[in-house]
Amino acid sequence: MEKDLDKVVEEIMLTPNVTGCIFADHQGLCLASKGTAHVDSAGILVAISEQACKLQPNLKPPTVCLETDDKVCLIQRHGTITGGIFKQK
Amino acid sequence: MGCCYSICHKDSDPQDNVPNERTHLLEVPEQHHETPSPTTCASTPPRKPDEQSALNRILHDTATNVIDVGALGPYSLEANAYSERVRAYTARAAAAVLPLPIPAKLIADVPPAASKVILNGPPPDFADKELITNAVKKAAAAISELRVEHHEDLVVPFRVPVA
Repeated sequence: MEKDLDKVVEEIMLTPNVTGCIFADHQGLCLASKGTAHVDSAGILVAISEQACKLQPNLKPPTVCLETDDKVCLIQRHGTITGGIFKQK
Repeated sequence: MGCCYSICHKDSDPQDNVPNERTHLLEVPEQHHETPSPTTCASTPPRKPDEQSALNRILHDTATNVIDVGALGPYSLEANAYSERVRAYTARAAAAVLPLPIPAKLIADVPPAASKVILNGPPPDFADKELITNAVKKAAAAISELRVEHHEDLVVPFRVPVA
């Protein structure tokens, strides 16, 4: 029954430079993960996104970007689903 | 008359070894006549000298090995002995090199000068932002389409034939 979600994940992984992808629900339960994205990171990604949303509660959820020298992690919430993408810069 | 005669001679017969109708067929030890039943008496087996000496030996060994802390009495250090020990222990502790705990740093503060440079730098890629936004929108749509596919009945009645 998760075929559609799997298709979305596959599509994202085909994007150039993307190394990992993860989706979680509002409670931090990992719904899908692929590549370098670890299943256990679902909770913390949701928590980071939640805290970022509190900065300006009136606006729509912001995109969180965690950068290192060569990699970047993008986190965004839409409704109750939080997604994370790990990619090379 | 013979029967009466044998009763009269009961006392004198045990001294002789002449077997008669009163002689015990099985040699039963005398002490078992005194105890009424074996279960009512205390569980003390007949004390042979070997067992007694063995018990004594075990008791003696335990007594020599046991350290009775309660019976030692008050123990106190003299003032100079105490201060000498403090000195010795602090010297030893200072001399001992403890392995430094490896600090596990996932995130470290950037010094303010460097942080200004980073914060004034270029913003994250717009393309990346679009990527994640579209991705999570599609994923949310896909997850909302999650349905349980009903193939078979979950509850199945057991059709047990009644004979």
